[in-house]
Amino acid sequence: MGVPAARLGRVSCLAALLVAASVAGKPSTVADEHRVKAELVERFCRFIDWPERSLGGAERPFVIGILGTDEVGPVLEEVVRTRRIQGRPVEVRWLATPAGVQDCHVVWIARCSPDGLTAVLARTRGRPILTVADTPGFARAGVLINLVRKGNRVGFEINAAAAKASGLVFSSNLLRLSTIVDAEGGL
Amino acid sequence: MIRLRAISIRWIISGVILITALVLLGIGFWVTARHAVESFRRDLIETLVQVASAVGDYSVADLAFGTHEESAKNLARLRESAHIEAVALYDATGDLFSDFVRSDAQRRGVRDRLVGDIREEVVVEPGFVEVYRPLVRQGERFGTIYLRASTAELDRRIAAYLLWLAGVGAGLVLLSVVFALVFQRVVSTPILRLSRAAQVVSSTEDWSTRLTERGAREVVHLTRSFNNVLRVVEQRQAERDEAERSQRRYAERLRVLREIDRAILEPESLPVIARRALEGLATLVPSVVSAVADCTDDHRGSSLLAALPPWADGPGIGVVEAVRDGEALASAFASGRPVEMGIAGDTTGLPSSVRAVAAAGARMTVSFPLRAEDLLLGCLTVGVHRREDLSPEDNDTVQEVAALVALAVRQHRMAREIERHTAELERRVSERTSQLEASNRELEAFAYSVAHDLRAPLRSIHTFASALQEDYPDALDDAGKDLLRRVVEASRRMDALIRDLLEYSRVAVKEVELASVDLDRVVEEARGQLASVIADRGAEVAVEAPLGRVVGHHATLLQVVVNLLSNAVKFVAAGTTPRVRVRAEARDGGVRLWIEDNGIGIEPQYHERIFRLFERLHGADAYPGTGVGLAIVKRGMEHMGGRTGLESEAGQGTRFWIELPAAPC
Repeated sequence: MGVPAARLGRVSCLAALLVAASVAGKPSTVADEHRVKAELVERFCRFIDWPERSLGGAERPFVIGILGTDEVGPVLEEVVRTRRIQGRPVEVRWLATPAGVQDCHVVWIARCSPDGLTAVLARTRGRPILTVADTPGFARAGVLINLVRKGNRVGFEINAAAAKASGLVFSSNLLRLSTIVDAEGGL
Repeated sequence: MIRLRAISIRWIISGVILITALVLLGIGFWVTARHAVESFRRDLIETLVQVASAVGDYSVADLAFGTHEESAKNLARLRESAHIEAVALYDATGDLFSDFVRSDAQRRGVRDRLVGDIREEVVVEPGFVEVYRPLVRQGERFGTIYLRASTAELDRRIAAYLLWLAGVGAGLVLLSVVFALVFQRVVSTPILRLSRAAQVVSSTEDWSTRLTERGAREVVHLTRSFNNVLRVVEQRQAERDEAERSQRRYAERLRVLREIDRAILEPESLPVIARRALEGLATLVPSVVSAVADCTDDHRGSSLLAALPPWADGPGIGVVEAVRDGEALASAFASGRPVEMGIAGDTTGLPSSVRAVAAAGARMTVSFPLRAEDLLLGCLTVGVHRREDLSPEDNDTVQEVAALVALAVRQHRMAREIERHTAELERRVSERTSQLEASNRELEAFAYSVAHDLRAPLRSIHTFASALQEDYPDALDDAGKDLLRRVVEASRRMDALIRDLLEYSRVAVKEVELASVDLDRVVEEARGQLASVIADRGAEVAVEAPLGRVVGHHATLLQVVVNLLSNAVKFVAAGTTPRVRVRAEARDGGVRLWIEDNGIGIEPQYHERIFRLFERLHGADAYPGTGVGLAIVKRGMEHMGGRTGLESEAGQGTRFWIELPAAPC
């Protein structure tokens, strides 16, 4: 798993962008799918506005937390490391436990148990923290955006109620392209 | 080429308004049209940019998340905007992402790939507008939207707008033409009226024309000024005409007066002068009849000199009747004013002259005295319809004519007087002359007879005394002989004197018949007669022949030349050789014969005296003579109708001359 990531990390930023753009939403291989997902996470950040108080000063980094381990996490780190999001440099934090999620702006929830998810959501609910996962049913459970495979391309679900409660402002374009999940998570 | 000044003011005003309106409308149309086109174009472009912007924003997510179908659906919504021909989305690498094309024919602007750095750009081409807009979200570029719209609709709208604008402009032009016509009517009509009036006035010179003052304020002022000018011109014209008439009357009066003057100077009879005066007066004064009458010195009688129109009988008119009572006339004129007399009612029984005046239509006569040097000589009467017909100027004219006629009357009376005196004088002169001639003739006859009768006893004395001297030389002693010699000498001298006197008488009295005389012959004969004297004195006589011929009497002329030649030889200082020169010169149709000597000369104060009888300048001892010779010369020359004279100074010689008419050859 680390091999392709390391290989990709060596390619130039522009090449990565070009590749990402060309394949976005249309993964043809598994590795491509990971990359697409990482790119999608990064893209979400372009269509969502964080409140100013949560971002802090301009010199403060934009923090992306990666909770748990999967194939997407390293690619995500690879993708965002050299970019600026919301006008800020990006800091990637690897989180072993949900304890540090409230200091992040975005949390990538990798494979996670329902209990673990509950613990994360307990910390992020009502806060301007974008939670993203790629596990079916997670949106309904309370994760703001959940990536889902639709045929040969990757789509995403948005829990509109949770999004609204979080204080984040989602672009209508994002909402237009997503599948809106209404139900509140059972947890 | 139309000459601006030949165009009437009406068309100038209308034209100016029309041109101004057209120019302003043109400018307005151009500015408005340009502004409208710009604005339409700008609106279209703004709208397109906005559409591109909105669609682009909306499509950024599609680009970001690769949702091609969504994007195509999205773009297809622009179908509603009819003027949009094509829309295309390109991703960040420039590849076509999705598009919407209204028809295949319109696909031409949509490229499959954009190359290079595409910036926001608006391309305006004939027929369409293209917009390129980069799509950026949060600093990241996701692609480019391309939008193309047809400008056909825009052009249609612009055309429609311009058409509407042109319609409005044409309407305005029409309105301005109407306005110009109305304006022209309001403003130019009164001015044209003024202009026409000025033309009429200047061509007809009818200065009494006036215009009613109406129209605009300036036009009213102009009209008033025009009227004022006309009034002034009319007044000046009237004054000038009056001055001209007055001048003409004055000149006519002068001319008539001069005619009368001339008539007076010509040797015309008084009635002729008077008639001419009346004829002249009739041309100056509105009289129907006029007459001149003179009266005698004692004012007791009068006579009609002339009347106009002439009538045969009656001594005069009007007041002239009163001349029969001369004292009344004198007293009537004593005031110095003309005497007026009216004629009214029936004239039957009045003098014929009064009837003649009345018949001529006169109802009033005015008589002016003829006066010279305080003498009343008569009167000049004019008959008029009314007294007012005679203006003060006419009065003056009549008075002047009367003065002239008075002068003529006075002059004629004086001329008669002078004629009378002259005739008397001539009578007396001729009487005296005949008396004188008779007595002269008697005297000359007496002198001749005395001289003649005296000569016989004198001859006896001379003869007997000479006989006594010769026959009895010893009977007397020397004293006796001396006495006897004196007796002989005295008797000889007396004889010469008597002879000369007889000669003189003959020259003076004898009738001569004038004929052509040859001066050369006369001088030659004279030299012959004086040959012994010339020889005795040793004189030189030079004659510059030919001397020519004159009209005279041969014997008398010979006597004259002999006397002058002998004087020339005689009166020479002792010891001097007498030199005499005889020459002739033509002079004013006559011949002057000069006899010049080198003698003792004669002082100028004696030049007259020497021609008198018995005048002598020198004693008989020095130059013997009788003192009759030059008297004979003078008498003889006068007798022949010639003249004589001399030029001389004492000691300078003497140049005598005689002159007679030249004889025709």
